[in-house]
Amino acid sequence: MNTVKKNKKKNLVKGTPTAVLVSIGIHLLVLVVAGGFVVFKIIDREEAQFVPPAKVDRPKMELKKPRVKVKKTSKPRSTTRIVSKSVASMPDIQLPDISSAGSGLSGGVGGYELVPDVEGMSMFGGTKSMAVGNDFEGTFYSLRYDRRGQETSMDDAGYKSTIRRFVDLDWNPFVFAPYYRAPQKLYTTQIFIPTISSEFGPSKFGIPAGPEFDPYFWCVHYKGKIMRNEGGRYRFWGFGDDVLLVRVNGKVVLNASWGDFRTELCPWERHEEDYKYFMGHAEAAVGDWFDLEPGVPVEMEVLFGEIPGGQVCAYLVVEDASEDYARNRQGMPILPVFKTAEIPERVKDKIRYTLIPGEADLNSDLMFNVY
Amino acid sequence: MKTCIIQPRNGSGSRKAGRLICLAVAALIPGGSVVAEMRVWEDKSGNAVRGEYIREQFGSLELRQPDGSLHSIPLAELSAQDTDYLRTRIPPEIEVQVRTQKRPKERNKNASRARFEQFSDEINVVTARVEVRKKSSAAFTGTLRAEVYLIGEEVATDDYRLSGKAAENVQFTGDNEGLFTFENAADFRVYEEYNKLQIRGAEYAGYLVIILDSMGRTLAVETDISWMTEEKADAVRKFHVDSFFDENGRKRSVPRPLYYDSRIEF
Repeated sequence: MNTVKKNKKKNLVKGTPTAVLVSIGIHLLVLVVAGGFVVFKIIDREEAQFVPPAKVDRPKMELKKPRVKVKKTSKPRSTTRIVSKSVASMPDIQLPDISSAGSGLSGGVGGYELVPDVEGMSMFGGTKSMAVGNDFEGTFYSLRYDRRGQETSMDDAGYKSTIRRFVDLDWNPFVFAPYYRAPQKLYTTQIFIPTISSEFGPSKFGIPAGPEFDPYFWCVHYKGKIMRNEGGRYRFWGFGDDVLLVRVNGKVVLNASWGDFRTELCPWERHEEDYKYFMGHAEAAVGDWFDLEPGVPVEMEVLFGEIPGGQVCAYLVVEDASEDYARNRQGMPILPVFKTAEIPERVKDKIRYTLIPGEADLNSDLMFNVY
Repeated sequence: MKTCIIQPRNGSGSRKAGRLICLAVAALIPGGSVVAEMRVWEDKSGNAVRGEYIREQFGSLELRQPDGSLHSIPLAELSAQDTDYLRTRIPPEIEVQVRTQKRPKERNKNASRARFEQFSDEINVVTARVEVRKKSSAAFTGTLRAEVYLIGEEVATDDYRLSGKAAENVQFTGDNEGLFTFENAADFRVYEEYNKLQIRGAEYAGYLVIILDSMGRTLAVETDISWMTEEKADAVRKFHVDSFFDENGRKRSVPRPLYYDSRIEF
């Protein structure tokens, strides 16, 4: 038995390599034949598909010289504003707690307002939408502080270059992302802020006026839509201390920023009627004409800001090309305040208090409401 | 640029610069008593009597019936509905005290980074602390309304200006032991207008506090303004903040800045 088993085992051991060898041989043969076919086939196809690129006749690129518009510079006749170049070093601050933003004086202590929100409406707007669809939403940024409320090293040049970048980048608020943004937005249906002290601007956005917040290097970005059922041709007049830029349907139509800063913030050609008439504490700028299609809403944005602190304003009135306007003692047309709804009487009163009579029309019928 | 620090005007005791605490000697304007309504009162047995509330005394409710006769219902016998009415709708006797505090507003010394412009104004914050005390011992679980108005005098025109107003729900609870307190503050700013021609703004002139019941009826009017009457107080209540009015409570137009022709030219 043992012999038989041994023989069987011996036979098996002998027979296995032969079968494997045969199998390997067959597989190798198949692989060589098939592989060679495929390889050569693929190479054939690649060779067939390859087309050497035709020689392209490339005209030599001509380097375009950038078109530089040479501005007609006009020397300011006089100015009483003194702008210091030195940046005062300020102590570190913690931003005030603004959890009670918007409570205002009328809120009492832990109480309720007699007339909610309406009582707290300022020339910058109210904390809630008062005319849904016709509101301009205003966002406050302070470039003096970063988004965590720490002081930045902002200076005049930095502020202006940031605004310039905002303008160049299609008015993208992302430019302001590194800086402090007030959580409280305001909603307004008119943009017209006569001369006030710059410390009262941030407070309207819930940042209490006080020792802890430096009220300069700030700006407000208003965004909304305008429409005229009958269409028409219009242009803005205005005066901003220090920044007032207006864009309609993607095009800047008014740059009424402070004279010295004006062209540093946004390319702008001076109009013939610019700086002919007083408005507020300086002279009014005149914008480009723009057309509104009947019943077609278009986007409008306003950037309003303050650089060194002190006085601040954003006078914005609008001229209808088809209208004749009464003129004030200077000969300036008394133009309607820009609005998309009737101005609440209490806001009119706030405006009137600091608006010299005859420098704007608060009661005109001209409105740019979409709804 | 010219620097101008506004000096407070003379002539008013409240115009002294600096911190000032004042316990107002107020005039309690009469006419605030509430006329109770004639109604039907029921006891727990369903017995009804028509009468107007006079007072609570010695554990009983006293009523005056239409014929003028008096009627008394023990409070323990009063129906639950009328007990609720009594505790929530019949206001208690109250005492109102107002303290005002005036202090200069804390400002940002760097309000202008360039420092080309020092403050050309003076801002005082006036805080009115109003205390409403329940004098009667009877429980009152209802709510009263307290309104406080802070009034300034416009320096350019001598008209008055409503500079601040607020309202509070007044409740007397075990926690406050029948003394409800609240505060309201307003800024009073006097400044040189940008036309450099005028000193403008409002100086603090006085306060007006009105307490009303749940039906809106006036319970008390407290003020330190000599010319104020209940009728004028009613007029002032209708004004919004920054409204201007005269001593007769009539609305006045907003004073405007004067024209000037020496402005900044670009």
